[in-house]
Amino acid sequence: MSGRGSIPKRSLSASSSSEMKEVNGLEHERIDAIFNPKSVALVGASSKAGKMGNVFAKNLVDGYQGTIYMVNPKDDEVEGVKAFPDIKSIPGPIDLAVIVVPAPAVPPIMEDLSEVGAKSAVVITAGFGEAGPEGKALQDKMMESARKTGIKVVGPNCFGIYNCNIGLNASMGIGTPPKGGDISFLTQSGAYGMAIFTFAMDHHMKFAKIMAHGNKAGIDDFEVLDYFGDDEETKVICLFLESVDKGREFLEVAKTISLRKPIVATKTGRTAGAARAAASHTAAMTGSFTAYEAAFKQSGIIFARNGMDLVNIAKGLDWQPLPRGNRIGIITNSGGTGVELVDLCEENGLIVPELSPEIRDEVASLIPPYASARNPIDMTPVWPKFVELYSKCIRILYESDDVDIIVPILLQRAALMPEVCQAVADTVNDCLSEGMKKPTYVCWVATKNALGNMDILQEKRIPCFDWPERTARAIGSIAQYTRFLKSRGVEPGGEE
Amino acid sequence: MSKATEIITKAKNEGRTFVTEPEAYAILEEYGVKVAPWALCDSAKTAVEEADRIGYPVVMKVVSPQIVHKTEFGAVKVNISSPQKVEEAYFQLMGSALDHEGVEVTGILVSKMLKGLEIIVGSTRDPQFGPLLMFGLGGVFVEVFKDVSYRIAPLEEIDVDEMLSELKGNKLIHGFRGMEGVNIEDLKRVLISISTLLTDLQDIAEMDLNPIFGNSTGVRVADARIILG
Repeated sequence: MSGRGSIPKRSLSASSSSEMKEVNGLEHERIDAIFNPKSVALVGASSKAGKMGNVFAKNLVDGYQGTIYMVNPKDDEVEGVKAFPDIKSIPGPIDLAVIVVPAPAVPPIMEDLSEVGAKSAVVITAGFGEAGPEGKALQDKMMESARKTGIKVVGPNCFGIYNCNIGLNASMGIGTPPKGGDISFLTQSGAYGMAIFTFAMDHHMKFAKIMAHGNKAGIDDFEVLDYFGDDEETKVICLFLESVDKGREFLEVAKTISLRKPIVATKTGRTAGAARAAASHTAAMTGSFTAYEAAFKQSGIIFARNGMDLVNIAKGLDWQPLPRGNRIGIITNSGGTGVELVDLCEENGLIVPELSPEIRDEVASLIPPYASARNPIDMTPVWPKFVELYSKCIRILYESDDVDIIVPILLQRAALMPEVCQAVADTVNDCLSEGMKKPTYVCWVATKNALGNMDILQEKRIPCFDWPERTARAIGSIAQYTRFLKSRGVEPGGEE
Repeated sequence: MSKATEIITKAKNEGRTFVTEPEAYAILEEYGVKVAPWALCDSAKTAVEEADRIGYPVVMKVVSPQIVHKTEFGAVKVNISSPQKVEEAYFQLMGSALDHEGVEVTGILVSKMLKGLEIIVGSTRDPQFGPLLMFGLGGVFVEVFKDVSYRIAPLEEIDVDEMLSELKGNKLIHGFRGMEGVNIEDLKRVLISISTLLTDLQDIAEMDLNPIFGNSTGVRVADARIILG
């Protein structure tokens, strides 16, 4: 399921990032303890419904198969799992400690964890660095204990982590996501990150690993990026960032990873602080986001303007092969939508080429005489023939060398007909399995009552994007990544 | 210690937040970035001699450890086309500089007035990513159209290629409708050299090389401002 969009590993010249990896070997192992722990201790576990300690207890028990130690000074058990009064009473090694107790209680717990040799900790509790000097002092104290033995700390003030493929939900999110995913997601924002992730799951996207790192007191963006880069289960990396720390390392790591797997990032806070006192012309012209933009371009990170674009781009990358170029073929039943999509595609760096005469003739022989066999192919609203025409036109574009990307617009009645959605999904997957490696993305323009039909496509990994604007933006970003790879000598989808 | 480092250390020791133009030129030249033929003069007589040697027209600027914004200060005269005008300009520049209290004059810089396409290269230092290099067309193109491209230094060759292709004015650089284009190889080489300079010299907080003149023979810096931090 994962091979489609993958990119060949390329041997990399000795660079600062490979040196960095040597240094970070231990960090890699520690991050792995977070995502693949053999044992998890929940500090602040609670049996009382509605308490944070209970949400976490339930989430852990729900799907995680490793050893769980509940830590609660009063109860003997929590959610059917034996509880211990404190860290030191736990009889075995702790790979991951999840901490949900109030902030002032956290530093002594970290000290205990350090003494027993715990490998990692996710600190959910808020009231640290984000909450003024007192909180900052607590955070520093906590980190001092953690650093003694190198406990890898996620958070504080974070939402938690998931490893979906082993059923590990160490977060305050509801429910354990399905297995079999290969998108990994690092988010600085907890709640919005989770909103993005659950929205994506609504669209049948499956995830591998998710981390909300909150205050980032003990973990750097580039370390997690590097880990995802090496992680066999991760095919697409998503980042939702408010800031990047250690930008140099981040840039170097991203540069090597993006040659073998795509990184999509949203960076918020782009507009603030643009005006600062500056002695030079250059500084006066340079906004705070400029450096990020430059770093993203240089390292091949696909920039998503917002959370929803992030989801759309990741979906396109995860489910479909990478396009080999930026020429797009559009199939529509509405001239107006087709023309709008053409405009938006061209504005997003895509080309909507004229189809060759042979292809035009072939299409023209299928569609009504008053319809258009040019690009966009506009079959007009000939409902009874939709199943046949969408299928045949899609196949024609797959077999043609005129385009690199296929976009059927499913508008109104076409979207309301489940048999049309089924036919599109089947044709695309048939062509792909016959070895014609070209992506298809559906531009979906329909009413609420057609939503169920979108599932027909998305369950079969045919991405649907709402309306032309989002469609063009997502595809434009993906095609930009193709260009990045090609200009660096990597053929997109070159292996297999 | 490299000459560039020496210059910067000296400026910092003197409590300056920038280097003077001749100092900036020396730093650039050490990195292989060519500058318009120039001379620092301490008398009207040497100014005329140097202008004769460099060839007319010339540009003359006051060099002072107190003046960073030369144009605003009235410390620049351009298009000076004869020995007599050089002499006049010398006294005018000296006079207006010395009218300002606390301004010491190191000398008067005489440099060749160049022709070609105006290019700007600048930099700032981003707290997370380090030196951020800006490259674009100078003059009205940067003032009005902000036709510039940014990358984090150090640059690889492919970064330079992509910066070039990002510019709307890319066509002008390559020569448009019979206009003389810029020597692309020299331009690329200079961008890489500036990137190395910025990576090496961490004390440079901001830099403006504006304008750089580019033509078919190569690119040369005509004005340099380097701010230390």
